[in-house]
Amino acid sequence: VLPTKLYCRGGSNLDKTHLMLGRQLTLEKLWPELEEGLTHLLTRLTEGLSNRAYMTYYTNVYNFCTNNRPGANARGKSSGGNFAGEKMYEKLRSFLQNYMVGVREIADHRVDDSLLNFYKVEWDRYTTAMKTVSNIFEYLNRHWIKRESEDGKQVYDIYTLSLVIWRDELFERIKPKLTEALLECIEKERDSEQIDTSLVSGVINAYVSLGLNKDKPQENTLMVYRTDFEDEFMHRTEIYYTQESTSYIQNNSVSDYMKKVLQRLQEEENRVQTYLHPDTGPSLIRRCESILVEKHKETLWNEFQSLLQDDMLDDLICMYTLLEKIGAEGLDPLKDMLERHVQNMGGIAIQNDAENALDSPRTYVEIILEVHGQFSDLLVNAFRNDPGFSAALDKACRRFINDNAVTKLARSSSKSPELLAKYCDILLKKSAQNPEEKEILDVLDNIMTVFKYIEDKDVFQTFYSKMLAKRLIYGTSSSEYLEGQMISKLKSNCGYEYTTKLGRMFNDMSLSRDIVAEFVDSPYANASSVDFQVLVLATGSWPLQQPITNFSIPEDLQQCQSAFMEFYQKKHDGSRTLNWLMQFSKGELKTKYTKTNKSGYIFQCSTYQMGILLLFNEENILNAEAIQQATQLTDSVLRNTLLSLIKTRVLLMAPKNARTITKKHRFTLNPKFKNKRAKVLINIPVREAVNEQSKAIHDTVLEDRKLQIQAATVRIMKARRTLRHGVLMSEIISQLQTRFTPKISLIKKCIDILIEKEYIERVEGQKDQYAYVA
Amino acid sequence: IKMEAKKRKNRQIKNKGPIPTEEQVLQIFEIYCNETHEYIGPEQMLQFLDDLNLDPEEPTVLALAWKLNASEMGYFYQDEFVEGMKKLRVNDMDKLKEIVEQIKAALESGKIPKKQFAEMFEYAFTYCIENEGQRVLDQDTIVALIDMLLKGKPHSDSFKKFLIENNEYNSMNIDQWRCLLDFSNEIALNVSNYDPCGFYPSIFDEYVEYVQTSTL
Repeated sequence: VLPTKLYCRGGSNLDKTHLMLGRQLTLEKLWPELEEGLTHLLTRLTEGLSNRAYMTYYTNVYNFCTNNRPGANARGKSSGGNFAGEKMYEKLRSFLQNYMVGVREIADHRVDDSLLNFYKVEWDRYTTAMKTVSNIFEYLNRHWIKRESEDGKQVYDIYTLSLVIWRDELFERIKPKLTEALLECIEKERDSEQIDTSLVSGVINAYVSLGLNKDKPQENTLMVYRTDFEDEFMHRTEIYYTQESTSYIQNNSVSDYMKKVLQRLQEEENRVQTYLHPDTGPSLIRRCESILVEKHKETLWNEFQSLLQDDMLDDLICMYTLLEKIGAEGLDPLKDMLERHVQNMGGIAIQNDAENALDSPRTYVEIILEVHGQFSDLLVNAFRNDPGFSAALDKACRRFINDNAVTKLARSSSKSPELLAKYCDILLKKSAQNPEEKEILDVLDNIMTVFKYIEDKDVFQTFYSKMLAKRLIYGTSSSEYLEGQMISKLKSNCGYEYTTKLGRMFNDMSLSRDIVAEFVDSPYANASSVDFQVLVLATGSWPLQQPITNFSIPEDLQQCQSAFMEFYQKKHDGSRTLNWLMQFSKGELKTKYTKTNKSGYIFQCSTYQMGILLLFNEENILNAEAIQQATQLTDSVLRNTLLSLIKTRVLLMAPKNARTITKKHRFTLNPKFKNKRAKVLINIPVREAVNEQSKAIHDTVLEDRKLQIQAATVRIMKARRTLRHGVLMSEIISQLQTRFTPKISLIKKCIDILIEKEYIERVEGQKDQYAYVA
Repeated sequence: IKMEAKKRKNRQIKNKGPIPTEEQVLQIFEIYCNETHEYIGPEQMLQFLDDLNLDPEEPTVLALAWKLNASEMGYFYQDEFVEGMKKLRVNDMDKLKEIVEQIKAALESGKIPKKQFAEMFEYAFTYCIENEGQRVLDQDTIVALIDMLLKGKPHSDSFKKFLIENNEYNSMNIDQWRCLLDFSNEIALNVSNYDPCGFYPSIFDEYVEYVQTSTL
């Protein structure tokens, strides 16, 4: 506490206050003592005021006012009582004004911190004292002052009056210096110097308190605070940070700059908490964000790409946090960059291993999952699952999954769903590794994640159905539980209709088992000498085609077939026909001709292979033509079967290396056939066959799509009656888009078909409008 | 032709001109009809057309058939003939010759209202249909029709070439046929204003591709 000049009129013993009464009371008599007391309060507040003294002053005021009440005066209102109040008020006012002048004289000699200190001390003392003073003059407050102010006169309650005088006599005169002192303190603090925050806080509170509402003096506004402090404060803040950010960015890395900005923003938040008025908070922070982030957003954007490439997680988090503050437009360029980056990375990852991935579904899907996983993590860790970024990631994934080096190699945009389905098949088949079910379930979940991005979902479904059918037929499923789990995952993604179809296949398998059990118990079973199994499947439920070749069944097998046929026809009274799908049949042959092994081998082979091999029981050498004669197999099936037998070294071909097999090629059993195992699987797929199958499936999908498009078109036209061409096209596309994206040219072809079949027609005179034909 | 006919009709009404009687028309019919008096058939047609100075291949014949609303190519059945001639106000051969000349002139000058030409164009297709339930016309017929009706119009030559060289499209149905007329009226010779996503049937997408690749 700094020493102040004493401006009271000498010390007096306040206990000698006199209670004055009645007619004795005049202002001249009253005032001197009162003034002493006021002075005491203002200047020696810490010494306190005795209760007795307080009561004396209070009562004197009271008595003075009440004994000078409006008397029976012809003038009416302006009577003695009023006049007394006014006189007292005036006296008090000029007293305070004098006091203020004294304070100001001292203040005029001070600057900076010393000014601030002085101001705060004086303010605290003054306001505390004036509260007491105001209480002393309570009667005046409640009566004369109240009446006068209600009449609209510029008269305030004593406390408010004191503030007005402080403001007019002191504050208004020194405020430039005062504000400047405050701002310098703040700048020092920004320069990391220690300052007395409670001092600043106190002075700023004084500003706030001086914001009196002219019309309602009881109310507080922030006018003084704003005009005399906040405006200039914001201005200085802007200058300070503009300068700092520009020079910092030039001399430091973007990464460091971002950290600095975050630190500064936090600092300013703290500043608001510590000594600024809370009202300043939002606009201060926004201004800082604008200067520190928005003005430098391009610098930040330009850095984003390399942060992505180098996977700098912390910096990415900083950048996202900062740019998020300036709104959506701050983040938009980042989203675009992320999208491009992910698309790129995905494309490159696939391209690097394209040859491999084309043939290995596992490789292909794993590459995709890795890229997707990497950026999903980034989305969570750096971008807080921001929906805009999530959408960018999805777009990019959708692109690189459906269109990449592998699909280009395969020259088919539907390669992705095909590979995805094939990977499922690998996972669900029995394998040598035999991994844990939980592991496989996790991978299947991941597969469904990729599935969501696939555009030609119907291709996946077609392949999956076909492969499921094969797994069931060949009994190569690894676990029924896994198959069931996969079906439920498919149900949530593909809908009820698709999975019910799959369910029927499972059903058929168990029905078939029952039928075979019946057969085995029946007398028909004795008719054949060969042990055999039959699978009876309902045609409509299985994605299986009729065989593409004839086949002359070996005699031994004929017996089996007829026996079962008889049994089955009897059972169903001849009402059902059985179509034998020989292309899926397989069996085992025991060999006795090999020189390498005494006990011979057991070949696990397809029935077609069997048909060929059994011929060699009669002949040693056979040419292709003869084999064809005997087996009745068509060219392509014959070729593929022979190739598989050659590949497995069961048969020898002369001439050995030939591009194509001609009718003249000669075949013999390979006597030197050798294999580690006694049971040998020779029913292996041949590449051409696999490719043909693949193509066949794609053709199936195409045909199916045509039907889908036509059905959708008819549905839409039936509902809408007439539609313009453009509208019809977009309706069709949107109806089918969950399954596949139809090409415009395909839709047009379907429309042509429907016009020709008279389901729809063009509207007379409006060639671009169609009408439904009822 | 209709306008001409209308004018003449008005004139006739003003002059109280003759609507031909059944007998007058039948007289003409009798000259050329077959033994059973049911129709003027292919054997008789040549003479009929010759007397009218008409070449069987020329479009006027088609127009005449259209006017008579003939149901079968090469035949004019009695009822069609009678009705048609009455509508045309033909009461004798001279009048018929006059009208034929007018039709010829109109066709040659090209001054036929669009709607009428489109009707005739469509009629030409159904006229060529020979079998019940037949929906398409084969390549040769189409080419002949194009020669007859779209002679000199843009695309007529190149479209014919396209049909002949193309393997996929060997016939056309009536919808494609109708669109062909619009196509030749609206689409530029260099097909620059063609939108493949638009409403034209797929055959035109193929044709446009054909044009674009052959001009490269």
